[in-house]
Amino acid sequence: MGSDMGLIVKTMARATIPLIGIFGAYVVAHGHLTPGGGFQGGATIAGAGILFLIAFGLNEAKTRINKNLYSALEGVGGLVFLIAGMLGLGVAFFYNTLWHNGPIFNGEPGTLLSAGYLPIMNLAVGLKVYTGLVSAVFAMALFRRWRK
Amino acid sequence: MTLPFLIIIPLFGAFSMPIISLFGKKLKEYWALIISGATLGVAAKIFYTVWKTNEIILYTLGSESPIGKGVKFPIRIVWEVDLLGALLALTITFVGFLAVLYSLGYMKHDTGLEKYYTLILILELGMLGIVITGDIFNFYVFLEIMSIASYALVAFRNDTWEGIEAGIKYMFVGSVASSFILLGIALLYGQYGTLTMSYLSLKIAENPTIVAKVALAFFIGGLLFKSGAVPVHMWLADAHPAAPSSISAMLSGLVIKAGGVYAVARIVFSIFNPGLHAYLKAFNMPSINMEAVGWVIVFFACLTLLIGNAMAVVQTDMKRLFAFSSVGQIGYILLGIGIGTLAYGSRAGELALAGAIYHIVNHALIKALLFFVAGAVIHEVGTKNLNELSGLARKMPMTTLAFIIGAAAIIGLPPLNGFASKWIIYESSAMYNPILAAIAVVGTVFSLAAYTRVLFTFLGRESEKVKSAKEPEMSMLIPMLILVVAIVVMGLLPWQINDKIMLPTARMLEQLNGEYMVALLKFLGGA
Amino acid sequence: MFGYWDALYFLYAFFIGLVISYLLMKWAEKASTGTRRAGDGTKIYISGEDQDKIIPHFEHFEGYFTGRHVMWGLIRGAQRMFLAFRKEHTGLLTDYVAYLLLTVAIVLGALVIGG
Repeated sequence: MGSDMGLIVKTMARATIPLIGIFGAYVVAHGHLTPGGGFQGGATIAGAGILFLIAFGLNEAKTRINKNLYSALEGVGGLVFLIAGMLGLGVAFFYNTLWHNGPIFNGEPGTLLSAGYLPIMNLAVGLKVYTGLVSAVFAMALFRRWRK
Repeated sequence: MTLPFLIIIPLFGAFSMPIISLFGKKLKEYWALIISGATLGVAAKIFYTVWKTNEIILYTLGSESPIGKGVKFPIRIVWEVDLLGALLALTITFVGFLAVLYSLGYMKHDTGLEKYYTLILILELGMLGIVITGDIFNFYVFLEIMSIASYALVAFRNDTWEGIEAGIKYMFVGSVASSFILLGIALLYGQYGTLTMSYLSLKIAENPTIVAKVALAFFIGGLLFKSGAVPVHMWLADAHPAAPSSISAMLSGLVIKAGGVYAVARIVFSIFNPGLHAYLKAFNMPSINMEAVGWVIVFFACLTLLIGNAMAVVQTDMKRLFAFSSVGQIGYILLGIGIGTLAYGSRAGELALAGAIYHIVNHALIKALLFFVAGAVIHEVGTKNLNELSGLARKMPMTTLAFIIGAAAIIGLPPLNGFASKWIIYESSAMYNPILAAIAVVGTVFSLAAYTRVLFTFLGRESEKVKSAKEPEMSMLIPMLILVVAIVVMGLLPWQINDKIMLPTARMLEQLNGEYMVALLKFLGGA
Repeated sequence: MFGYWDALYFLYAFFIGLVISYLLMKWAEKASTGTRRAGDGTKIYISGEDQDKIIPHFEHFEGYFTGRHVMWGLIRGAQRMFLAFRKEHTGLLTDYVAYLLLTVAIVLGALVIGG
C-alpha cells in the first residue's frame, strides 16, 4: 500500500524541504535579534519534517526517523535550556551571567554573538520543538486505526 | 538558596527521563523515585526554614532585586513563598513521592512508562510552581503546565474508552476555564500594568475599578472549575475515576488543591486583600466589597458539600464514589476560605482559614490513601464495582485496615486527623453563622452514609470474584502504611499541629500587617 | 479555645431544629404523610393517618396507616433528591461548558452588583 504522494509532490518536496529547514534555522539562530525565536523556528523546521512525512509516506519516514533518538534529543533540548538557566545560579535562577560576565555571547548588542544565554536557549528550544512536533505528528501517523 | 531547586530538580528529572530510559527498563522507575525523593527533601527544607523564621521568602528570577533599573516598581518575575505555599509544597512532594513509589508496583504491566513518569514529574512541577510563585502570569503558566499534564495522565490508559472520553472532556472544558483565568490576568494587566501579585494588590487598593471586580469574578469562576466545586464538578467525577489510581490519588489529593482552592485563597487574600479593602471602606474611599466575594464562595461551598457528598451515596463504582467524596471535601475547604474572607480579622475568620488549610493537608493524605486502596483492589481483583467486591476483608486484611482508617478519617471520627480539621471548620462556621455549620454537618451525614456502604462491602460475605485475591506487593503496601501512620499520628496531636503550624499559616495568609506586600516593598526602599 | 461550643450548642440546635421542622412540615403536607391542618391553628403532624383509606382486614385501624406513609414518604423524598442530582449528570460536554459559563455568569453578576 503506497502511503506516499505523487511524483510532482515528491519533487516539489525535495526542492522545498531544505529551504524550509534553512529558513527555520535562520529564525532560531537570530531569535534574539529578529522577530521569532526558538519556538517559531523549531515549528518551521518541524514543518519541513511533516512535509517529508506527508509527501514520502509513512513507510519511508519509518526508515529515516528514529523515534528513540528524537525522544532523547527532545530531552537534550530541555536539559540544555535548564542548564543555561542554571548558569547564573550563584546570583539567581535564570541570571544572565554570560551577558554580564562573559566569556562568550557578550558582544555588542545587535550582533549575533550577544545576549548571553538567549542564543543557547533559542537553539535548545528550537531543537526541542522540532523533535517534539515531529514525534507528535509521527505518533499520530503511526497510531493504529480503530478496527471496524 | 534552596528555593529554585524545587523547580530545577523535577524539571531536570522530566527532561532527562527519555535519555535515562534508553539505558535500562528498571532505571527510569528508580530515577523518578530518586527525583521525587530529592524534591521532597528540598520542600521539607524550605518549609522548615519558613516555619522557623516565620518570614516570607522572596526570590527574584534573573537578578538580585525585583525592582527594575532606574524605575520604582518591580518588573521581574518573583517567587514569593509564605507558610501556606511552603506547607502545600511539602504536602505535594510527600504525596507525589508516595504516588511514584506506588506506581512501581501498580503500573508494572503498562507500556509507555517513560512518558508516564515524565508526566508525573511535570504534574508535580506545575503544582510546586503554583504554590511558590508570586507573579500572576507565572502562576498561569504553571497552572497550564499542571493542567496539561493532568489531561494527558487522565487519558493515559488509552485502550479504554473511559479514559479517552474523560480526558477529552476534561481538556475541552478545562481549556475554557483556563481562558477565563487568562482573561482575568489580561484585564488586571491592562488596568494596572503589573503582574507581581503583591504590587498588584497595592495598585488595586489605590484604584479599585470595576475592571478589578470583573477580573476577580473570572478568576473565581475559572478556579471553582479547577477545584471541582458544584455545579462545575462534573469533569472531576469523570476524570478522576478514569485515571490510573496513582494518578487519581495525585489529582484528587493535590491538583484540585494546588490549582483550585489554594489559588482562590491566594487571589482573594494576597491580591484582593479583604483587610485593606475594609480599611478603605472605613474611610469612605472606593473599595471592593469583599463580603460579596466571601458570600459567593460560601454559597458555592454549601452547594458543593451537600451535592458532592449526596452524590457519593448513590455510586456503585468505588473510584467514582471517592471522586464525588473529593467534591464534597472541597466544599469544606471552600467554606473555610469563604468564612475566612467574611470574618476577616476576627477569631472566627482566623480559625476558619486554619481549618481550611488543615483540611487541605488532611484531605490530601486521606484521599491519596483511599485511592491507593482502590488501586490495590483493582490490581488484585480486577473490578471496581462495589456490588462485586464483597468480603475483601479476609483476603486483603492490610488493605482493609488502610481503608477503614481512611474512611474513618474522612468522615471525621475523633482520634483521626479528619476530625480535627472538620471540627475547626464547623466551629468557626458556627461562630460566624450557625446555619452554615448545620449545612456542613448535613454534608458529613451523607459522607458517612457513602463510606459505610463501602465498609459493608469490604466486610460482607465473600463473592466469587474475591476468592483468588491476595495482598498487593510491598511497593504498593508501603505507601499505604506510611499514609496510615501519618493519619494516625496527625490525629493524635491535632491541637498541637493546629497551634504550631496551621494558625501561623492562617495568620500569614491573612496578612493583618500586609506582610506579603512588605516583603516586596523592602526592595523598593533600598533601590 | 474549644469550650465555647457547649454554651452555644443549645441555642444553635434549637434554631436549626425550628428551621428543619418547618421545612419538614411543608414537605409532609405535600407528601401525604398524614400532616394536615385540623381546624383553627391545630395541626396534626406526620401522624401517618390517612382519612380516606382503610386497610383490608385491618378495619379496626380505620384511619391509621401507622408509620407506613411516613416511611415511604421519607424514602421517596430522599430517592427523588438523588434522582434529581443524578439526572443532572448527563455526561455531555456541552452541559459541562454550559454549567461553567453559568457559574462564571453568577459570580460575575454577584461581584459586579455587590462587589
